[in-house]
Amino acid sequence: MRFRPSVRLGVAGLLLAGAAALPAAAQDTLDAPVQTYAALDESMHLSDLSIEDLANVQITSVSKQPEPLSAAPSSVYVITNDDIRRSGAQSLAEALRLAPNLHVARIDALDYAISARGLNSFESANKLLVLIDGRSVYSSLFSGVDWDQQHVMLEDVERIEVISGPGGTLWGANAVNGVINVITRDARETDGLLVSVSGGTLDSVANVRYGGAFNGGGWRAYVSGYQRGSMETATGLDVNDGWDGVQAGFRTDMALGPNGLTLQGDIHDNEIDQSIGLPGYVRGGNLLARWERRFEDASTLEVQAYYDRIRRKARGIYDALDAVDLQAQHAFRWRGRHQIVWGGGYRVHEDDFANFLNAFVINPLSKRTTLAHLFVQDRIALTPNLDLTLGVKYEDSSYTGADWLPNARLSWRVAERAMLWAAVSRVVRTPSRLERDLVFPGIVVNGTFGTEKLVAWEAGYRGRPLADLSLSVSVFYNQYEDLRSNNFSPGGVLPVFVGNSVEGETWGVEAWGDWAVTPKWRLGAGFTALEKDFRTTSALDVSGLEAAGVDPDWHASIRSQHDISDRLELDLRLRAVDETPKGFAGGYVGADAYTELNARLGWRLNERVELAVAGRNLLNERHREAAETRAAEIPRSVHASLRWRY
Amino acid sequence: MRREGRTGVRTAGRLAAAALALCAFAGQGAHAQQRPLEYPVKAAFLHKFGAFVGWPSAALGPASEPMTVCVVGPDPFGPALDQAVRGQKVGGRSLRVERHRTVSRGAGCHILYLRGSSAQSVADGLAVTAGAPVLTVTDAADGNARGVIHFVVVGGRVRFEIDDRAAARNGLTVSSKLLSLAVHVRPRER
Repeated sequence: MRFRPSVRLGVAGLLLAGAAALPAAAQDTLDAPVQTYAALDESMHLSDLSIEDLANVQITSVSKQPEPLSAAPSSVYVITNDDIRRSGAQSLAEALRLAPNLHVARIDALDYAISARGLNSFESANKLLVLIDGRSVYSSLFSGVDWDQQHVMLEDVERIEVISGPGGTLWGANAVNGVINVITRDARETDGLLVSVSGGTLDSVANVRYGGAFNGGGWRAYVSGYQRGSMETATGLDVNDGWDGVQAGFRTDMALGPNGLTLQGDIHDNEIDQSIGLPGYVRGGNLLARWERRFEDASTLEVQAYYDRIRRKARGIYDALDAVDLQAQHAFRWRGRHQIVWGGGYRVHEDDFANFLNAFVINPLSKRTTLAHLFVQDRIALTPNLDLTLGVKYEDSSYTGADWLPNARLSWRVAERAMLWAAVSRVVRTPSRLERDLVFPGIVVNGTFGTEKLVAWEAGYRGRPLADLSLSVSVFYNQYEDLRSNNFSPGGVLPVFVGNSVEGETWGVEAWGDWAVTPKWRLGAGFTALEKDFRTTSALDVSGLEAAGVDPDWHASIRSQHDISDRLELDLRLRAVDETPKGFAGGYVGADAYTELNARLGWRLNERVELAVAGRNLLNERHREAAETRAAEIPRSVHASLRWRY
Repeated sequence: MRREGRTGVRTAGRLAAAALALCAFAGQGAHAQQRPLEYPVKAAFLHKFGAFVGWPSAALGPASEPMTVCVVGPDPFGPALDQAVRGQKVGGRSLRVERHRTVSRGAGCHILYLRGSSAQSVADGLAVTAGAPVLTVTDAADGNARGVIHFVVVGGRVRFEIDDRAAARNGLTVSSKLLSLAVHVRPRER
């Protein structure tokens, strides 16, 4: 239920059509189909690392997990800074294609549908929590992520952790199908001047960043301008949906004795007026402070607060969202074998809404909502090789009151180089403002939608079967209940309300591996397959299982990273995505299966200057990725880039 | 400090290896530690610093003499430090680990990791060794008092600051490579 009128109008039409043909529609609905590579080597010893490598050993994820990611009992893929650079990606969403456990479908110049473990589409991709340096960018207004307004300067990204499956106890709300955790570099690691420019036939980006040091700390500031080119129709006509924006920001990190302090913020201004010929913009900013204290007994206390503000006018709709978030967590060790983390958080949202196109509104037009949580997790070392993690989160939202989110995880080190893990979790997704308060006078009433629920069963293997080969395989079985539906009132009459009548199951497998063929040549491969079975529990539901999304049965990728010489590097990435089926709802017209190739040739002139040429989607003149009726086709593109450091 | 570029590609695998090796290591007892890698990494740094620092030849004695790494105050390393130095050589010298409650000027420590305790604070330890040919190493985890090298945890990694002025005062030279790895350097006086 994201309020983008082009879509919303479609929903209105559907509802009206449904009202006209209720018995048939209801009947139809019932029948509608619906890491990081881990290297573990007994000969590996820290003393054998060079001093530079030693300085890069990650001793803890700066995310919520107080453990090396490679030991996390979940399906985690890590995109590194170097992966991003070598991919030639020009935006965050394009960089996310590197994660084999994500399905990324570009809809048009502005929008993406991105999901883990299925239920993808613009309307239904609402189960993925996305954090940028600890700040949630999941919108409480429309449930989901506006990918166009999430710009990060990719050169300063430390890594992106992509967790498929429930985020467990420690992450924020709505981590139902997965978590994307974007972590930018500590300001003490980004000193000096960096200028990077990439320009091409589709997208262009220019960045300037300068960083410096002070006693015990560092700072950086950046400005980034970007332009996203227009997509095309199936016959190659320009759909004129290109847009551009500028973003600036800063970050400072400092150590004050045993205290660590981070302050960071960004402001952005995007002009998106071309989209459907109406003037539009997205403007906003954020400010975040994080304080971490380490005590003598090695326990840690972390407190974080942020403010985030978005003003968006697009396609005839104005919305504004302000969020203030405060959270704290305390981690300590208890009786030797217990590693306990507990904490809580409180977030206040205030929004404002106006529709200049039609009679859809949210009622009331402006509202304050809250989301609070408390959690505790204990990781227990049962034996030296067997860990049991038990966690529970208590969540309280303005709309739905209290919910308990428990999860249990087991990790078993079966051999020096192999880990097996299994987990069962219960998670919920809280209603957004639109889902709860959308009103169309006389046709749609508000105030009924409750939480969506998932019980997820997962298991996996991660290890290094051969010295140069790492592998991760995960399987999952998800049981969804109370997913969003659009129901007629009893008796099959208007008004329609947003209900919780859809339920179903998904199951599938995610696998990836990385093989260092030679010291200068790495190959990687990833594969994800998904099956699903959804149904509605109400004969009055006319949503057509929209909440189940439309997903390809499988997608796969192969990647080659080759250092041709000390100065030349060649990267190739081939991806194949199975057909995205048509759906009954929302006019999902589907998308054909496609295979595409990205390539990049990089040339380091010297320590300071790097040139590259890159091509995206080279195999087809244009191709379609998303199932939405409005989805455009993505043209082949090339770009050249220069990166200069001083 | 910058890990962009080709070294990043090659090191990524080895870093992951180190991370997992340590988690396996952690599995053997130090399992539930908050940052299972933190002190093992610091232990590896401690003896590696020796290769990037120059001592006055009189301070090191004959080439057959080992280089001495001292830990003063509560020992945070356990066996990790002894394992780290086993079989390692710095300039042809083997390494010896000593643990003391307090330190004096003539203790014979070449690398001195000062933690401080009720018997002797970090600042006191620094004061008694000031001007002596000792590479003093302190830790942000233990407070604000700074030796020549001061460990800090930055972005989940163990890094360090270097006070090259204090190094000069102690008659030590610090290689430019080590200086380039520091997150902050206080330059020596000209």
